[in-house]
Amino acid sequence: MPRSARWRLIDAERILWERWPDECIVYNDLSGQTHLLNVSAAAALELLGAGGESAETLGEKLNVDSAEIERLLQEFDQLGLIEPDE
Amino acid sequence: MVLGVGPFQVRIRARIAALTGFLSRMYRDFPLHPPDGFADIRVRLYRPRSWRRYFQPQVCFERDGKRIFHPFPLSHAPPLFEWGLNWCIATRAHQYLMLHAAVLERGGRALILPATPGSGKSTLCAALMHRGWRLLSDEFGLVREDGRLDPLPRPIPLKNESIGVIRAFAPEAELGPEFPKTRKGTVAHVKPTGASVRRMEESAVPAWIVFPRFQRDARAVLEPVPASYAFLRLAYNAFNYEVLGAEGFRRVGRLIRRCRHFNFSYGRLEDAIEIFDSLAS
Amino acid sequence: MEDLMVVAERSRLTATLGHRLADAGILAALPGRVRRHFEAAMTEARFRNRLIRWEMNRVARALRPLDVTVVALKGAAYLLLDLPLARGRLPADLDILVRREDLSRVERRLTEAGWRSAELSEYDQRYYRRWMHEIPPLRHPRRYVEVDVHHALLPLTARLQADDELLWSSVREVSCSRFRVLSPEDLVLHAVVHLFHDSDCANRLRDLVDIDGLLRHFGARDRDFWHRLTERARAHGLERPLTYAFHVGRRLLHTPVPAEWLNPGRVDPLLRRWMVALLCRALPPSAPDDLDLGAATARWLLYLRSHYLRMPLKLLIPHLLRKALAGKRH
Repeated sequence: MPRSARWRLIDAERILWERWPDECIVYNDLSGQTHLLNVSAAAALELLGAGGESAETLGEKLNVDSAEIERLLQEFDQLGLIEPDE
Repeated sequence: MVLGVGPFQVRIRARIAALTGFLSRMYRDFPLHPPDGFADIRVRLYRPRSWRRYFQPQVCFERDGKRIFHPFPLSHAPPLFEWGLNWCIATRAHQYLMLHAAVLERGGRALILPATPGSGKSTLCAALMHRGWRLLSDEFGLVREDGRLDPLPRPIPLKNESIGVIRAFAPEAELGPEFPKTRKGTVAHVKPTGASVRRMEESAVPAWIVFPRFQRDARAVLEPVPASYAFLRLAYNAFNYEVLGAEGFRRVGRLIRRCRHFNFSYGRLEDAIEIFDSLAS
Repeated sequence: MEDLMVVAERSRLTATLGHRLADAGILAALPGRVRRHFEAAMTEARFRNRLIRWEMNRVARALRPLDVTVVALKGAAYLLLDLPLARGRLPADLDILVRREDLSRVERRLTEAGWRSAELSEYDQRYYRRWMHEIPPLRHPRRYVEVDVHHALLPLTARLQADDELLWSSVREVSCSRFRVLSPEDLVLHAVVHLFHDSDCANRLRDLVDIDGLLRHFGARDRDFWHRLTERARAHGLERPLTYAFHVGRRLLHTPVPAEWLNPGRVDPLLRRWMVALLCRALPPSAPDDLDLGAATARWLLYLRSHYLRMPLKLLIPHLLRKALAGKRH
């Protein structure tokens, strides 16, 4: 997938959040799964909920290497949190 | 008979002497309900018709006419009843978030001790119950929609060495008969204290979540843990977290926010009692 | 009341009954202890439905690169179509249908994506592939749901068969999903075939309740439905089983089949009566205390209504049963 490919949360309303200063736990009502996220992953997920983002745009906004973001996006896709933003 | 056990009314059909004796002793002060009322759980224990009937008698457990578990030796009818009742509750009572934990109360506030192998939960629970804590449950943390915990006092099963430990630690404890060679070794039950049974209808506000770990001769150490750690451990420990889905997530979240959370290692019961006493003061 | 609960639990209809009571506005009025049982069962049904929807999501994702038509069957179809009857069900597996020529591609893609075949002996494998209408069930190791991939709707050895080509001709799309579904008439007929073919007696009452739910839903929406259903049954050669399903449904569940459509198959009335009587005895679960489902239901609903509304008894039974099971507000 090219780094400019856009993604978004499948359904922001079906994601529940518990937030703490350094971490965040998220529940995905589609999959029924619960995930522990660090600060950058949580921030990325929030941005993906606000609108379509790509590895490049996320990398810029979060000041993280876009290759790392790409790995994160792959994982989010695997987990069924995000889908391609068409 | 229809026995009131915590929030549940249990209809029990059985003509087995060992069980009747156990029930009349261990559930002595529990309320009995009229037989024509509505029971939440219906169980039957019976001797199966088999060629073994006379030289290796067995007992079976049935819920709503369907057999659960393999047959047990007839003399083990009481532990079969206890484990069967646990199963009946854990598989159906989804009005609660059901933690797999011991819960005790002091001064209106509840201490939650999630179960893990090696935690010594039941022994710790039996000990605390005899040192001024009211037993809510040794097995089920029943978390309501409003976040409070409902009591489910039951005979506390102790295994092997723990039996001797509690006899020594709390000579006033009332223990039931010993059942050797069960799947979990030798099992004996501690009768819930009169106070625990009398206050069976009183829910409690959760205050502390403590993950215990028993290690012989270890120093007692109570150490705070991050909320996220407590959240995940508690969620995965619960019987029906997955079944409840979003509601399960919300209830765990609220619980974590309301409570202080700790890891706890200990080697001696006396140390544990002291530490928990100071928490509650 | 407890008797009814036992019967409901044994036929695994507690959640379905709970939903119908909720639709009729009765659930909230029940005593707390009774109501909680229904709610707990409804929670479990919601959980099971979520597992199936998620499995569909994962299968759809895995099959994304393939250009094949995949049809969701039974419970999965009811969920996709958002049918009321889907709510209280406890689906165990995900049943999907693909064309025979696509079967190996689909199997390969799913295996690549992580699904594993149930462990079977060689004989069983051959039995599955050659004589059953599916490959051995697949399960993804991280989840509990079994995916049954069919390429026909009944084993090739069975006597009772729906016409497969006919089925494919009216398969249709569903919004927001890559899965397709059968037409309403074919959904009913597939359920009817299942009812008569299911060797598991415990499930049969639930199958009948599904059929009842489908007929109520589609029958209410479209007056032409009964006509189409009859024509379709004849095209498939399933008019006799449909006739029996109508009569048994009407007798046990008051399924509202219009009188003029009640006999799609030309069945000898005596034979029909005998068959229906037999089925009515066989379908309800065999309770140890010899309970009669209809009587228990009627008795219980009677109690409720009289308790809360004080209606004359004579009018109560037919009224209650129809109201509670029709899912209408009063």
